[in-house]
Amino acid sequence: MSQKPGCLIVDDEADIRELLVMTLERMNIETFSASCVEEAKQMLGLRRYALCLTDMQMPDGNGLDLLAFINEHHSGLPVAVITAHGSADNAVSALKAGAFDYLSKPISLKQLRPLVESALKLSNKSNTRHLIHYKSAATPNKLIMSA
Amino acid sequence: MSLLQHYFSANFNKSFALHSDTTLQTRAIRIINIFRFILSLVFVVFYAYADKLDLVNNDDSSMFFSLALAYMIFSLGLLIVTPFKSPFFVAFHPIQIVIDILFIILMMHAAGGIQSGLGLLLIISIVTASLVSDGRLALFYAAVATIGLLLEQTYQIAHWQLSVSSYTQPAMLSLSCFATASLAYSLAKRILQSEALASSRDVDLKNLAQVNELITQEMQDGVLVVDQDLNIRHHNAQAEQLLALKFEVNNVLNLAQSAPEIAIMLSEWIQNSDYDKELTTQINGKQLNLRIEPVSHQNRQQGAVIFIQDWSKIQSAAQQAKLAALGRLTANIAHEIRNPLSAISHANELLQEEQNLSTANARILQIIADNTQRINQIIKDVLELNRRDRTQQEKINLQTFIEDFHHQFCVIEKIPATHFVLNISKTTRHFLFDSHHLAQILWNLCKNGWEHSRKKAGSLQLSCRETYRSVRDLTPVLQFEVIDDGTGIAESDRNKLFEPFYTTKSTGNGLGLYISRELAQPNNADLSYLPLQHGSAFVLQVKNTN
Repeated sequence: MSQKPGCLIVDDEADIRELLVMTLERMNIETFSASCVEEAKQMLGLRRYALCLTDMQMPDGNGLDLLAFINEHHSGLPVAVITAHGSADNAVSALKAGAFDYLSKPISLKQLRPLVESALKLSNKSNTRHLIHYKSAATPNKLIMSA
Repeated sequence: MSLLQHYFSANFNKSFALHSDTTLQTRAIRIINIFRFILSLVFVVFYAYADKLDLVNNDDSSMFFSLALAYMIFSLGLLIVTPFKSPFFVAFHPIQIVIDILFIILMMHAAGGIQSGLGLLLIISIVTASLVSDGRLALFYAAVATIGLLLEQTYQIAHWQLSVSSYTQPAMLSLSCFATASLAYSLAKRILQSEALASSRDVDLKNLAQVNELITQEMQDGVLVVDQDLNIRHHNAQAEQLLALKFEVNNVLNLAQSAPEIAIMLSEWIQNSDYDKELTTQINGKQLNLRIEPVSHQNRQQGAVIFIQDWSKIQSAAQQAKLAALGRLTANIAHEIRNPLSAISHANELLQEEQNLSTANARILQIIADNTQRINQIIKDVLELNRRDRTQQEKINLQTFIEDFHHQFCVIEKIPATHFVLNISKTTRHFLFDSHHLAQILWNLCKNGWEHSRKKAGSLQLSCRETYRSVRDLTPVLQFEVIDDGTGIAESDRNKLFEPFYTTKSTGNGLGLYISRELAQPNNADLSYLPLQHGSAFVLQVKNTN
């Protein structure tokens, strides 16, 4: 396999972020993580991703803001939103804003894995030809350390 | 606004006071009429005896008698006519007085002129008449009397060729007539002034009473004002309602009869001057809080104002506020717990995926997974409570909603459809409710019912029918009943049923019924427990039917 699909994880809780990274690494997916909306926006400029998993509430903004930013500047990147409230309202507004899917906390692996897989499939179909242009812009391990 | 209305009605009272003034005048006129009649009677009697006593020393005695008779007829006529109270007679009054004066002068003439002393009667007539007419015509009456007196004296002088100096006596009488008239005038003026002052004070008092009444009616508490004999002098609608008093118009209620409990407390309060603590009593099933204030601070016997608060209402309001605050706090805590809980369960799941786990460790991880699941359920339930303030009531079709619910419930809880029986009345088609809330309430009730039932065919029943709220309250309601055939709920546990975190199951979190009731409330519905002979029933009464 020449190119692992990249996945961007945005969450302000370090533990949850780390667990998500571990889960996705086990699935053999290259992961990059950001702790806030600003950082995520910067990292989006560095390389192309196959999926973005973002929390709803972060200190410097809302998951929906990031969703809007991605739709505007990186259209085609599927975004899954993690809702903390467990209420349908947040999930509905995320889906309306163009989210690919949503996960509610507590995150269960049974939900997370199929979601990631289907997102990657979708991403692969539409973006295989573009992936070449975004070859190894940053080493993933270094980023995980810094987060 | 209503204060303004009261002000206007006070002005009405002012005009009413003026009106009562005229009735006073007619009464005075009547008294004058009676006086006149008695006077004429005295004249007639005087004539009868004067003849024998030879007091009337000239031969005008027949004239005197006929005059006295005429005067009597005149006074009798007025006596009969005046009770009709026509304003015409009030206007006619000055003419009556002039006629009076003329009669007296003529009779004085018949009795032998000024020396007879009858002229003095003029003064009485003038004084009374001027008081009745508020002093306005006093000087006019005096002038008429003076003219009459002087004319009479002139006639006497011409007839008997008396000396001009005999004018002195009628002149003196005339002067005293004028003096009394002016005295009566100033007196009447003063009376008028004090009368006006009194009536304006009266209006002020009435205004004050009306304002007081308005304030007490607007008060949340019941107010009773009692006098020294424990008669209820004033009360407001709240007091009437709280004590179930039955007031009739023009009938003063006594506190000892209408509310003996309060009367006893009041008499204790009167006797002990340091008896100032808050008083509570139970009347008509209501917990009432009393506060007694003396009308006069020196003496408690002069009456008191009693303020009555519905203590149970205050307590339930406080309870509501407390629960609302508790709800907000728990919602915040629940929300904060979610992130760490998510991390724990996530980490646990990753651990569970490890190959070659020992059975003991696998079991430990399973226990962690189960318990995080349980905590998560509590959080879900508590957060659901937060939604209760945001109801989205919609028109729900009873038949389809219940059938859908039944189908889903049987599938998800894995219950055979024969074990869960539906019983839907066909009369109600639609009602208003938040469909999400209703599903949650029914789900909680049915799940509870199923868990406590004997789990055989027909163990769980859901019926919906139209009925009245209770035997006493005939509000139409749509009633849902969830009935199970379990062991029922012990009497001692029934009052704790709807408390949060109260549970009989080791796996339950005790929020199901609490949440159900909390969700029912904003949808204008009541949830209650009904013990049955075999099993229990939970009754949800929905008021928004159409």
